Amino acid sequence: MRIPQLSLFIENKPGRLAVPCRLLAQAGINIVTLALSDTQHFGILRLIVRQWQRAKEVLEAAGMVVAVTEVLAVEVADRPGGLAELLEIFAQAGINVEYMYAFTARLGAKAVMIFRFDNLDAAINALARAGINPVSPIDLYEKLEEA
Amino acid sequence: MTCQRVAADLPEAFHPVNSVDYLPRQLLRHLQSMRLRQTVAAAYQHFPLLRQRMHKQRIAPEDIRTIDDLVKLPFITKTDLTDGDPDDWLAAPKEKIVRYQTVALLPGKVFTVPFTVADLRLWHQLLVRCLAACGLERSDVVLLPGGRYLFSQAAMLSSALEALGAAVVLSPATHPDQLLPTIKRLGVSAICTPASYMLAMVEQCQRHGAELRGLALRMALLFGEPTSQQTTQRIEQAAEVKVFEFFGLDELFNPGLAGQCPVGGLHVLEDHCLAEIIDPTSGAPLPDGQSGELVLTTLGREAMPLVRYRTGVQTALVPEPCVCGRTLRCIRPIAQQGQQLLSVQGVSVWASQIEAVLQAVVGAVPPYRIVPATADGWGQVELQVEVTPQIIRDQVAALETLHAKLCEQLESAIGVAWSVRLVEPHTVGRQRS
Repeated sequence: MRIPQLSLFIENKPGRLAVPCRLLAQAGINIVTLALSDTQHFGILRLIVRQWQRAKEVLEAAGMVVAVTEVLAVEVADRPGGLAELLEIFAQAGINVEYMYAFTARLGAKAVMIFRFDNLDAAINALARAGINPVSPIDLYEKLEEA
Repeated sequence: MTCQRVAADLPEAFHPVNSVDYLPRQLLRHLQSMRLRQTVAAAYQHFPLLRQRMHKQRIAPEDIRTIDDLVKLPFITKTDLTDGDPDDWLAAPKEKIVRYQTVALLPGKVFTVPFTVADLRLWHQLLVRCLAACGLERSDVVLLPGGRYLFSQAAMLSSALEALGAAVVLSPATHPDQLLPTIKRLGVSAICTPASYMLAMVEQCQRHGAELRGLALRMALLFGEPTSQQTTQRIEQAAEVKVFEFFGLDELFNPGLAGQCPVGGLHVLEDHCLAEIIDPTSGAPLPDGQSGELVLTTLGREAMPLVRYRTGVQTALVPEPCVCGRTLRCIRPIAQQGQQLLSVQGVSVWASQIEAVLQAVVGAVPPYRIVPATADGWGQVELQVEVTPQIIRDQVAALETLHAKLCEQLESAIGVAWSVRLVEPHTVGRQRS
Protein backbone atom coordinates (compact mmCIF):
# COMPACT_ATOMS: atom_id res chain seq x y z
CA MET A 1 0.00 0.00 0.00
CA ARG A 2 2.95 2.30 0.51
CA ILE A 3 4.28 3.60 -2.77
CA PRO A 4 7.92 4.55 -3.22
CA GLN A 5 8.35 8.00 -4.69
CA LEU A 6 11.63 9.30 -6.14
CA SER A 7 12.63 12.92 -5.54
CA LEU A 8 15.28 14.77 -7.53
CA PHE A 9 16.90 18.13 -6.98
CA ILE A 10 16.79 20.31 -10.08
CA GLU A 11 18.18 23.78 -10.58
CA ASN A 12 15.80 26.36 -11.93
CA LYS A 13 17.44 26.62 -15.35
CA PRO A 14 16.19 25.91 -18.85
CA GLY A 15 16.53 22.30 -19.92
CA ARG A 16 17.22 20.84 -16.49
CA LEU A 17 13.86 19.08 -16.17
CA ALA A 18 14.32 17.29 -19.47
CA VAL A 19 17.49 15.51 -18.29
CA PRO A 20 15.97 12.95 -15.89
CA CYS A 21 12.98 12.41 -18.19
CA ARG A 22 15.29 11.63 -21.09
CA LEU A 23 17.37 9.26 -18.96
CA LEU A 24 14.31 7.29 -17.90
CA ALA A 25 12.99 7.20 -21.47
CA GLN A 26 16.31 5.81 -22.71
CA ALA A 27 16.11 3.08 -20.05
CA GLY A 28 12.56 2.26 -21.16
CA ILE A 29 11.07 3.30 -17.85
CA ASN A 30 7.59 4.78 -17.97
CA ILE A 31 6.78 7.63 -15.61
CA VAL A 32 3.42 6.85 -14.02
CA THR A 33 3.02 10.35 -12.72
CA LEU A 34 5.16 13.28 -11.62
CA ALA A 35 4.93 16.57 -9.81
CA LEU A 36 7.30 19.52 -9.70
CA SER A 37 7.55 21.87 -6.77
CA ASP A 38 9.70 24.92 -7.26
CA THR A 39 11.20 28.03 -5.70
CA GLN A 40 13.07 30.90 -7.30
CA HIS A 41 16.33 28.97 -7.54
CA PHE A 42 15.53 25.29 -7.49
CA GLY A 43 12.83 22.70 -7.83
CA ILE A 44 12.13 19.19 -6.59
CA LEU A 45 10.89 16.71 -9.13
CA ARG A 46 8.84 13.86 -7.66
CA LEU A 47 8.36 10.76 -9.74
CA ILE A 48 6.22 7.66 -9.42
CA VAL A 49 7.56 4.86 -11.58
CA ARG A 50 6.88 1.17 -11.45
CA GLN A 51 10.51 0.03 -11.55
CA TRP A 52 11.59 2.56 -8.97
CA GLN A 53 14.79 0.71 -7.97
CA ARG A 54 16.00 0.54 -11.54
CA ALA A 55 14.97 4.14 -12.15
CA LYS A 56 16.97 5.17 -9.10
CA GLU A 57 20.00 3.27 -10.38
CA VAL A 58 19.73 4.86 -13.82
CA LEU A 59 19.44 8.38 -12.38
CA GLU A 60 22.22 7.85 -9.86
CA ALA A 61 24.50 6.38 -12.51
CA ALA A 62 24.04 9.66 -14.38
CA GLY A 63 25.24 11.52 -11.29
CA MET A 64 21.87 12.61 -9.91
CA VAL A 65 20.99 12.46 -6.25
CA VAL A 66 17.72 10.68 -5.51
CA ALA A 67 15.66 10.55 -2.33
CA VAL A 68 13.12 7.76 -1.82
CA THR A 69 10.02 8.58 0.19
CA GLU A 70 6.93 6.52 0.85
CA VAL A 71 3.64 8.06 -0.17
CA LEU A 72 0.03 6.85 -0.33
CA ALA A 73 -2.22 6.67 -3.37
CA VAL A 74 -5.86 7.19 -2.42
CA GLU A 75 -8.94 7.01 -4.59
CA VAL A 76 -11.10 10.08 -4.56
CA ALA A 77 -14.71 10.16 -5.72
CA ASP A 78 -14.77 12.25 -8.89
CA ARG A 79 -17.58 14.58 -7.81
CA PRO A 80 -17.85 17.92 -5.99
CA GLY A 81 -16.74 17.46 -2.39
CA GLY A 82 -14.91 14.18 -3.02
CA LEU A 83 -11.52 15.51 -2.02
CA ALA A 84 -12.93 17.60 0.83
CA GLU A 85 -14.42 14.47 2.46
CA LEU A 86 -11.09 12.71 2.28
CA LEU A 87 -9.13 15.66 3.67
CA GLU A 88 -11.65 15.90 6.52
CA ILE A 89 -10.54 12.43 7.67
CA PHE A 90 -6.93 13.58 7.99
CA ALA A 91 -7.87 16.87 9.59
CA GLN A 92 -9.87 15.13 12.31
CA ALA A 93 -7.04 12.71 13.01
CA GLY A 94 -4.64 15.65 13.28
CA ILE A 95 -2.51 14.43 10.37
CA ASN A 96 -0.62 16.93 8.30
CA VAL A 97 -0.58 16.57 4.51
CA GLU A 98 2.90 17.69 3.44
CA TYR A 99 1.91 17.82 -0.21
CA MET A 100 -0.29 16.02 -2.69
CA TYR A 101 -0.73 15.70 -6.41
CA ALA A 102 -3.10 13.98 -8.78
CA PHE A 103 -2.84 11.33 -11.47
CA THR A 104 -3.85 12.28 -14.93
CA ALA A 105 -5.45 8.87 -15.49
CA ARG A 106 -8.41 7.54 -13.52
CA LEU A 107 -9.18 4.21 -11.93
CA GLY A 108 -12.73 3.51 -13.10
CA ALA A 109 -14.98 6.32 -11.94
CA LYS A 110 -12.49 7.53 -9.41
CA ALA A 111 -9.56 9.91 -9.46
CA VAL A 112 -6.34 8.94 -7.72
CA MET A 113 -4.31 11.31 -5.58
CA ILE A 114 -0.83 10.90 -4.14
CA PHE A 115 -0.40 12.08 -0.55
CA ARG A 116 2.77 12.72 1.41
CA PHE A 117 2.10 12.79 5.18
CA ASP A 118 4.26 13.81 8.09
CA ASN A 119 3.08 10.61 9.81
CA LEU A 120 2.40 7.86 7.31
CA ASP A 121 1.30 5.17 9.81
CA ALA A 122 -1.22 7.49 11.44
CA ALA A 123 -2.63 8.33 8.01
CA ILE A 124 -3.03 4.65 7.12
CA ASN A 125 -4.82 4.00 10.43
CA ALA A 126 -7.11 6.99 9.99
CA LEU A 127 -8.06 5.82 6.50
CA ALA A 128 -8.68 2.27 7.78
CA ARG A 129 -11.00 3.61 10.47
CA ALA A 130 -12.92 5.46 7.77
CA GLY A 131 -13.11 2.22 5.74
CA ILE A 132 -10.79 3.42 3.01
CA ASN A 133 -8.00 1.29 1.61
CA PRO A 134 -5.20 3.10 -0.16
CA VAL A 135 -4.48 1.80 -3.66
CA SER A 136 -1.80 -0.89 -3.59
CA PRO A 137 1.27 -0.32 -5.76
CA ILE A 138 0.42 -3.33 -7.93
CA ASP A 139 -3.13 -2.18 -8.56
CA LEU A 140 -1.90 1.30 -9.21
CA TYR A 141 0.71 0.41 -11.81
CA GLU A 142 -1.34 -2.30 -13.51
CA LYS A 143 -4.62 -0.48 -13.72
CA LEU A 144 -3.00 2.74 -14.78
CA GLU A 145 -0.99 1.00 -17.45
CA GLU A 146 -4.13 -0.80 -18.71
CA ALA A 147 -6.01 2.45 -18.88
CA MET B 1 65.50 68.70 -12.23
CA THR B 2 62.05 67.41 -11.48
CA CYS B 3 63.01 65.70 -8.26
CA GLN B 4 64.71 68.86 -6.95
CA ARG B 5 61.65 70.90 -7.73
CA VAL B 6 59.45 68.42 -5.95
CA ALA B 7 61.85 68.36 -3.03
CA ALA B 8 61.69 72.13 -2.80
CA ASP B 9 57.89 72.14 -2.91
CA LEU B 10 57.29 69.44 -0.36
CA PRO B 11 59.77 68.84 2.42
CA GLU B 12 58.88 65.17 2.58
CA ALA B 13 58.70 64.69 -1.16
CA PHE B 14 59.92 61.44 -2.52
CA HIS B 15 61.37 60.32 -5.77
CA PRO B 16 61.86 56.61 -6.47
CA VAL B 17 65.26 57.14 -8.08
CA ASN B 18 66.62 58.35 -4.76
CA SER B 19 65.22 55.36 -2.90
CA VAL B 20 66.74 52.08 -1.86
CA ASP B 21 64.79 50.51 -4.74
CA TYR B 22 67.82 51.06 -6.97
CA LEU B 23 70.59 50.29 -4.50
CA PRO B 24 73.30 48.07 -6.02
CA ARG B 25 72.92 44.48 -4.74
CA GLN B 26 76.25 44.54 -2.93
CA LEU B 27 75.28 47.61 -0.91
CA LEU B 28 71.79 46.22 -0.31
CA ARG B 29 73.35 43.03 1.06
CA HIS B 30 75.43 45.10 3.46
CA LEU B 31 72.41 47.01 4.63
CA GLN B 32 70.37 43.82 5.03
CA SER B 33 73.12 42.07 7.00
CA MET B 34 73.47 45.00 9.35
CA ARG B 35 69.71 45.19 9.93
CA LEU B 36 69.47 41.42 10.31
CA ARG B 37 71.97 41.51 13.18
CA GLN B 38 69.81 44.12 14.92
CA THR B 39 66.64 42.13 14.30
CA VAL B 40 68.12 38.90 15.65
CA ALA B 41 69.54 40.65 18.71
CA ALA B 42 66.18 42.24 19.55
CA ALA B 43 64.16 39.09 18.85
CA TYR B 44 66.57 36.96 20.90
CA GLN B 45 66.42 39.37 23.80
CA HIS B 46 62.64 39.68 23.92
CA PHE B 47 61.08 36.49 22.57
CA PRO B 48 61.44 33.55 25.01
CA LEU B 49 60.33 30.92 22.49
CA LEU B 50 62.91 32.00 19.92
CA ARG B 51 65.62 32.16 22.59
CA GLN B 52 64.75 28.65 23.69
CA ARG B 53 64.90 27.33 20.12
CA MET B 54 68.20 29.05 19.41
CA HIS B 55 69.67 27.57 22.60
CA LYS B 56 68.49 24.15 21.55
CA GLN B 57 70.17 24.53 18.15
CA ARG B 58 73.25 26.04 19.86
CA ILE B 59 73.05 29.28 17.95
CA ALA B 60 73.95 32.59 19.53
CA PRO B 61 72.85 35.93 18.05
CA GLU B 62 76.56 36.59 17.35
CA ASP B 63 76.61 33.62 14.96
CA ILE B 64 74.42 35.60 12.58
CA ARG B 65 76.80 37.91 10.76
CA THR B 66 75.42 38.21 7.25
CA ILE B 67 72.22 37.31 5.46
CA ASP B 68 73.87 34.02 4.43
CA ASP B 69 73.61 32.96 8.09
CA LEU B 70 69.84 33.35 8.03
CA VAL B 71 69.24 29.65 7.28
CA LYS B 72 70.78 28.72 10.65
CA LEU B 73 67.88 30.35 12.49
CA PRO B 74 64.72 28.51 13.57
CA PHE B 75 61.33 29.39 12.06
CA ILE B 76 58.49 31.26 13.73
CA THR B 77 55.02 30.02 12.79
CA LYS B 78 51.53 31.47 13.02
CA THR B 79 50.75 28.98 15.79
CA ASP B 80 53.79 30.23 17.75
CA LEU B 81 52.28 33.72 17.65
CA THR B 82 48.69 32.79 18.48
CA ASP B 83 49.41 30.20 21.17
CA GLY B 84 51.78 32.29 23.23
CA ASP B 85 51.13 35.23 25.50
CA PRO B 86 51.07 38.35 23.27
CA ASP B 87 53.64 39.93 25.60
CA ASP B 88 56.06 37.17 24.63
CA TRP B 89 56.11 38.66 21.15
CA LEU B 90 56.69 42.23 22.20
CA ALA B 91 60.16 43.69 21.75
CA ALA B 92 59.38 47.24 22.85
CA PRO B 93 58.17 48.64 26.16
CA LYS B 94 54.35 48.80 26.27
CA GLU B 95 54.42 52.60 26.65
CA LYS B 96 55.96 52.81 23.19
CA ILE B 97 53.10 50.92 21.51
CA VAL B 98 50.74 53.33 19.79
CA ARG B 99 48.67 50.90 17.76
CA TYR B 100 47.46 47.34 17.86
CA GLN B 101 46.06 45.60 14.83
CA THR B 102 44.03 42.47 15.44
CA VAL B 103 44.40 39.77 12.86
CA ALA B 104 42.81 36.32 12.57
CA LEU B 105 46.04 34.46 11.86
CA LEU B 106 44.34 31.08 11.99
CA PRO B 107 40.63 30.18 12.00
CA GLY B 108 39.23 31.48 15.29
CA LYS B 109 42.69 32.51 16.57
CA VAL B 110 43.21 36.22 16.85
CA PHE B 111 46.58 37.86 17.35
CA THR B 112 47.21 41.51 18.15
CA VAL B 113 50.09 43.03 16.22
CA PRO B 114 51.84 45.89 18.04
CA PHE B 115 53.20 49.01 16.31
CA THR B 116 55.42 51.75 17.70
CA VAL B 117 55.60 55.24 16.24
CA ALA B 118 58.75 54.14 14.41
CA ASP B 119 56.90 51.12 12.97
CA LEU B 120 54.09 53.30 11.66
CA ARG B 121 56.60 55.70 10.16
CA LEU B 122 58.38 52.80 8.48
CA TRP B 123 55.07 51.48 7.15
CA HIS B 124 54.31 54.92 5.76
CA GLN B 125 57.70 55.05 3.98
CA LEU B 126 57.21 51.57 2.53
CA LEU B 127 53.79 52.53 1.17
CA VAL B 128 55.15 55.71 -0.35
CA ARG B 129 57.75 53.63 -2.17
CA CYS B 130 55.17 51.09 -3.36
CA LEU B 131 52.91 53.83 -4.67
CA ALA B 132 55.73 55.74 -6.32
CA ALA B 133 56.86 52.54 -8.02
CA CYS B 134 53.55 52.44 -9.93
CA GLY B 135 54.30 55.81 -11.43
CA LEU B 136 51.85 57.78 -9.32
CA GLU B 137 52.61 61.46 -9.29
CA ARG B 138 51.42 64.82 -8.01
CA SER B 139 48.84 65.25 -10.74
CA ASP B 140 47.07 62.02 -9.79
CA VAL B 141 43.69 61.99 -8.10
CA VAL B 142 43.20 58.75 -6.17
CA LEU B 143 39.85 57.47 -4.95
CA LEU B 144 39.62 55.22 -1.91
CA PRO B 145 36.06 53.92 -1.95
CA GLY B 146 34.20 52.25 0.86
CA GLY B 147 36.01 53.64 3.87
CA ARG B 148 34.35 51.29 6.29
CA TYR B 149 35.91 48.20 4.73
CA LEU B 150 39.42 49.44 4.69
CA PHE B 151 40.12 50.16 8.36
CA SER B 152 43.70 51.14 9.08
CA GLN B 153 44.71 50.54 5.50
CA ALA B 154 42.69 53.51 4.24
CA ALA B 155 44.39 55.85 6.68
CA MET B 156 47.89 54.55 5.91
CA LEU B 157 47.34 54.58 2.16
CA SER B 158 45.84 58.04 2.09
CA SER B 159 48.68 59.54 4.11
CA ALA B 160 51.22 57.84 1.82
CA LEU B 161 49.41 59.16 -1.25
CA GLU B 162 49.30 62.64 0.20
CA ALA B 163 53.02 62.46 0.97
CA LEU B 164 53.57 61.73 -2.71
CA GLY B 165 51.64 64.88 -3.52
CA ALA B 166 48.68 63.06 -5.10
CA ALA B 167 45.15 64.16 -4.22
CA VAL B 168 43.18 61.63 -2.22
CA VAL B 169 39.41 61.31 -2.55
CA LEU B 170 37.89 59.63 0.49
CA SER B 171 34.36 58.39 0.12
CA PRO B 172 32.20 56.21 2.27
CA ALA B 173 30.31 55.18 -0.87
CA THR B 174 30.97 51.88 -2.56
CA HIS B 175 28.32 51.79 -5.26
CA PRO B 176 29.41 52.98 -8.72
CA ASP B 177 26.19 55.00 -9.10
CA GLN B 178 27.30 57.11 -6.17
CA LEU B 179 30.99 57.13 -7.10
CA LEU B 180 30.83 57.80 -10.83
CA PRO B 181 29.81 61.47 -10.59
CA THR B 182 32.77 62.05 -8.24
CA ILE B 183 35.12 60.14 -10.53
CA LYS B 184 34.04 62.31 -13.46
CA ARG B 185 33.94 65.64 -11.63
CA LEU B 186 37.38 65.32 -10.04
CA GLY B 187 39.02 63.49 -12.93
CA VAL B 188 39.94 60.55 -10.71
CA SER B 189 42.98 58.84 -12.26
CA ALA B 190 43.39 55.90 -9.89
CA ILE B 191 41.22 53.77 -7.63
CA CYS B 192 42.83 52.18 -4.62
CA THR B 193 40.82 49.26 -3.22
CA PRO B 194 40.83 45.49 -2.60
CA ALA B 195 40.60 43.47 -5.82
CA SER B 196 37.16 42.01 -5.13
CA TYR B 197 35.70 45.52 -4.79
CA MET B 198 37.28 46.75 -7.97
CA LEU B 199 35.93 43.70 -9.75
CA ALA B 200 32.46 44.17 -8.27
CA MET B 201 32.54 47.81 -9.31
CA VAL B 202 33.49 46.92 -12.87
CA GLU B 203 30.72 44.33 -13.02
CA GLN B 204 28.12 46.66 -11.58
CA CYS B 205 29.03 49.35 -14.07
CA GLN B 206 28.60 46.86 -16.88
CA ARG B 207 25.19 45.78 -15.61
CA HIS B 208 24.00 49.36 -15.24
CA GLY B 209 25.39 50.33 -18.62
CA ALA B 210 27.76 52.79 -16.95
CA GLU B 211 31.11 53.28 -18.62
CA LEU B 212 34.44 53.36 -16.80
CA ARG B 213 36.34 53.60 -20.06
CA GLY B 214 37.13 56.92 -21.69
CA LEU B 215 37.53 58.65 -18.33
CA ALA B 216 40.70 60.00 -16.77
CA LEU B 217 41.00 56.70 -14.89
CA ARG B 218 44.34 55.03 -15.65
CA MET B 219 45.26 52.86 -12.67
CA ALA B 220 43.74 50.39 -10.25
CA LEU B 221 45.83 49.95 -7.11
CA LEU B 222 44.77 46.68 -5.56
CA PHE B 223 45.66 45.44 -2.11
CA GLY B 224 44.47 43.28 0.73
CA GLU B 225 43.85 40.00 -1.07
CA PRO B 226 45.45 37.78 -3.69
CA THR B 227 44.36 38.73 -7.20
CA SER B 228 43.98 36.11 -9.89
CA GLN B 229 45.23 36.76 -13.39
CA GLN B 230 41.68 36.57 -14.75
CA THR B 231 40.51 39.21 -12.28
CA THR B 232 43.37 41.49 -13.30
CA GLN B 233 42.62 41.04 -16.98
CA ARG B 234 38.91 41.58 -16.47
CA ILE B 235 39.50 44.85 -14.60
CA GLU B 236 42.10 46.07 -17.07
CA GLN B 237 39.84 45.45 -20.05
CA ALA B 238 36.56 46.67 -18.61
CA ALA B 239 37.90 49.88 -17.08
CA GLU B 240 40.85 50.56 -19.43
CA VAL B 241 43.24 50.82 -16.52
CA LYS B 242 46.53 49.24 -15.56
CA VAL B 243 46.33 47.09 -12.45
CA PHE B 244 49.03 47.41 -9.80
CA GLU B 245 49.07 44.89 -7.03
CA PHE B 246 50.36 45.42 -3.50
CA PHE B 247 51.25 42.55 -1.26
CA GLY B 248 51.23 42.56 2.50
CA LEU B 249 50.37 40.59 5.59
CA ASP B 250 48.38 41.94 8.52
CA GLU B 251 50.93 40.58 10.97
CA LEU B 252 53.74 42.55 9.26
CA PHE B 253 52.52 45.38 7.04
CA ASN B 254 49.47 45.12 4.83
CA PRO B 255 49.98 46.36 2.24
CA GLY B 256 53.64 47.39 2.22
CA LEU B 257 55.77 44.27 1.78
CA ALA B 258 55.87 44.18 -2.01
CA GLY B 259 54.51 46.31 -4.83
CA GLN B 260 54.27 46.10 -8.60
CA CYS B 261 56.31 48.25 -10.95
CA PRO B 262 55.03 49.34 -14.40
CA VAL B 263 56.80 46.32 -15.96
CA GLY B 264 54.72 44.06 -13.74
CA GLY B 265 57.35 42.78 -11.32
CA LEU B 266 56.11 42.34 -7.76
CA HIS B 267 59.14 43.80 -5.95
CA VAL B 268 59.76 42.81 -2.35
CA LEU B 269 60.96 45.77 -0.30
CA GLU B 270 64.01 43.73 0.59
CA ASP B 271 65.77 46.35 2.64
CA HIS B 272 62.99 45.95 5.22
CA CYS B 273 61.79 42.45 4.62
CA LEU B 274 64.07 39.55 3.81
CA ALA B 275 62.39 36.93 1.65
CA GLU B 276 63.18 33.22 1.42
CA ILE B 277 61.32 30.39 -0.24
CA ILE B 278 61.29 27.06 1.55
CA ASP B 279 59.92 23.60 0.99
CA PRO B 280 56.84 23.68 3.24
CA THR B 281 57.32 20.06 4.29
CA SER B 282 61.05 19.82 4.96
CA GLY B 283 61.72 23.48 5.71
CA ALA B 284 64.72 23.37 3.36
CA PRO B 285 65.47 26.53 1.37
CA LEU B 286 64.50 26.30 -2.30
CA PRO B 287 66.47 27.84 -5.19
CA ASP B 288 65.15 30.93 -6.99
CA GLY B 289 62.39 30.21 -9.45
CA GLN B 290 61.07 27.24 -7.52
CA SER B 291 57.66 27.56 -5.91
CA GLY B 292 57.32 27.08 -2.15
CA GLU B 293 56.34 28.82 1.05
CA LEU B 294 57.35 32.43 1.54
CA VAL B 295 59.36 33.03 4.72
CA LEU B 296 59.94 36.61 5.81
CA THR B 297 62.34 38.25 8.23
CA THR B 298 61.60 41.83 9.20
CA LEU B 299 64.47 44.29 9.03
CA GLY B 300 63.76 47.39 11.05
CA ARG B 301 60.51 46.51 12.76
CA GLU B 302 60.66 47.77 16.35
CA ALA B 303 57.69 46.34 18.27
CA MET B 304 57.69 42.88 16.72
CA PRO B 305 60.88 41.94 14.87
CA LEU B 306 60.18 38.55 13.31
CA VAL B 307 62.84 36.09 12.26
CA ARG B 308 62.08 33.54 9.54
CA TYR B 309 58.33 33.89 9.85
CA ARG B 310 56.44 31.24 7.91
CA THR B 311 53.75 33.15 6.05
CA GLY B 312 51.78 30.27 4.56
CA VAL B 313 51.89 32.17 1.26
CA GLN B 314 52.84 30.19 -1.80
CA THR B 315 55.07 31.90 -4.34
CA ALA B 316 58.55 31.83 -5.88
CA LEU B 317 61.42 34.29 -6.14
CA VAL B 318 61.98 35.45 -9.71
CA PRO B 319 65.61 34.64 -10.59
CA GLU B 320 66.11 37.40 -13.17
CA PRO B 321 66.47 41.08 -12.28
CA CYS B 322 63.49 43.20 -13.34
CA VAL B 323 63.95 45.30 -16.45
CA CYS B 324 62.51 48.34 -14.66
CA GLY B 325 65.93 48.85 -13.12
CA ARG B 326 64.97 48.27 -9.49
CA THR B 327 67.46 45.99 -7.85
CA LEU B 328 64.85 44.62 -5.44
CA ARG B 329 63.96 41.05 -6.29
CA CYS B 330 60.45 40.07 -7.41
CA ILE B 331 58.13 37.34 -6.24
CA ARG B 332 55.61 35.63 -8.48
CA PRO B 333 51.97 36.70 -8.17
CA ILE B 334 50.32 35.26 -5.10
CA ALA B 335 47.46 32.95 -5.91
CA GLN B 336 46.46 31.75 -2.49
CA GLN B 337 47.47 32.29 1.09
CA GLY B 338 47.60 28.90 2.76
CA GLN B 339 44.22 27.55 3.79
CA GLN B 340 42.78 31.03 3.60
CA LEU B 341 40.33 31.08 0.72
CA LEU B 342 39.67 34.73 0.33
CA SER B 343 38.94 37.97 2.02
CA VAL B 344 35.26 38.91 2.06
CA GLN B 345 34.47 42.52 2.87
CA GLY B 346 37.84 42.70 4.58
CA VAL B 347 37.23 39.57 6.65
CA SER B 348 39.48 36.56 6.16
CA VAL B 349 37.67 33.37 5.30
CA TRP B 350 39.17 29.91 5.68
CA ALA B 351 38.05 26.69 4.11
CA SER B 352 37.93 25.11 7.56
CA GLN B 353 35.36 27.66 8.76
CA ILE B 354 33.05 26.99 5.85
CA GLU B 355 33.54 23.27 6.26
CA ALA B 356 32.71 23.46 9.98
CA VAL B 357 29.40 25.18 9.18
CA LEU B 358 28.57 22.64 6.49
CA GLN B 359 29.41 19.81 8.88
CA ALA B 360 27.18 21.32 11.57
CA VAL B 361 24.20 21.97 9.31
CA VAL B 362 24.39 19.15 6.79
CA GLY B 363 26.28 16.56 8.81
CA ALA B 364 28.87 16.25 6.04
CA VAL B 365 30.97 18.46 3.80
CA PRO B 366 29.45 18.35 0.32
CA PRO B 367 31.45 19.71 -2.62
CA TYR B 368 31.26 23.50 -2.56
CA ARG B 369 32.62 26.54 -4.36
CA ILE B 370 32.91 30.21 -3.53
CA VAL B 371 32.00 32.67 -6.22
CA PRO B 372 33.06 36.19 -5.24
CA ALA B 373 31.19 39.35 -6.15
CA THR B 374 28.17 37.96 -7.92
CA ALA B 375 25.16 39.66 -9.38
CA ASP B 376 23.50 39.56 -5.96
CA GLY B 377 24.95 42.85 -4.95
CA TRP B 378 27.99 44.74 -3.89
CA GLY B 379 30.67 42.51 -2.50
CA GLN B 380 28.17 39.77 -1.72
CA VAL B 381 29.85 36.41 -1.93
CA GLU B 382 28.04 33.31 -3.03
CA LEU B 383 28.66 29.88 -1.62
CA GLN B 384 27.50 27.15 -3.96
CA VAL B 385 26.79 23.83 -2.28
CA GLU B 386 26.07 20.65 -4.17
CA VAL B 387 22.94 18.74 -3.21
CA THR B 388 24.17 15.36 -1.96
CA PRO B 389 22.30 12.37 -0.48
CA GLN B 390 22.65 14.08 2.93
CA ILE B 391 20.94 17.20 1.62
CA ILE B 392 18.27 15.95 -0.79
CA ARG B 393 14.70 16.03 0.54
CA ASP B 394 11.36 15.54 -1.14
CA GLN B 395 10.01 18.67 0.53
CA VAL B 396 10.85 22.16 -0.65
CA ALA B 397 10.33 23.56 2.84
CA ALA B 398 12.97 21.22 4.28
CA LEU B 399 15.54 22.41 1.74
CA GLU B 400 14.61 26.01 2.35
CA THR B 401 15.08 25.53 6.09
CA LEU B 402 18.50 24.01 5.47
CA HIS B 403 19.36 26.90 3.15
CA ALA B 404 18.32 29.47 5.75
CA LYS B 405 20.35 27.68 8.42
CA LEU B 406 23.45 27.70 6.23
CA CYS B 407 23.12 31.45 5.59
CA GLU B 408 22.58 32.20 9.25
CA GLN B 409 25.43 30.05 10.56
CA LEU B 410 27.90 31.26 7.93
CA GLU B 411 27.14 34.83 8.86
CA SER B 412 27.57 34.18 12.56
CA ALA B 413 30.73 32.09 12.09
CA ILE B 414 32.49 34.40 9.65
CA GLY B 415 30.90 37.75 10.33
CA VAL B 416 29.71 38.75 6.88
CA ALA B 417 26.47 38.08 5.04
CA TRP B 418 26.57 35.27 2.49
CA SER B 419 24.34 34.24 -0.29
CA VAL B 420 24.05 30.47 -0.47
CA ARG B 421 22.92 28.59 -3.55
CA LEU B 422 22.11 24.91 -3.67
CA VAL B 423 23.30 23.45 -6.94
CA GLU B 424 22.94 20.12 -8.72
CA PRO B 425 25.48 17.37 -8.01
CA HIS B 426 28.76 17.43 -9.93
CA THR B 427 28.43 21.05 -10.95
CA VAL B 428 31.25 22.37 -8.77
CA GLY B 429 34.69 20.84 -8.56
CA ARG B 430 35.50 19.80 -5.01
CA GLN B 431 37.22 22.79 -3.52
CA ARG B 432 39.41 20.82 -1.19
CA SER B 433 39.48 17.18 -0.37
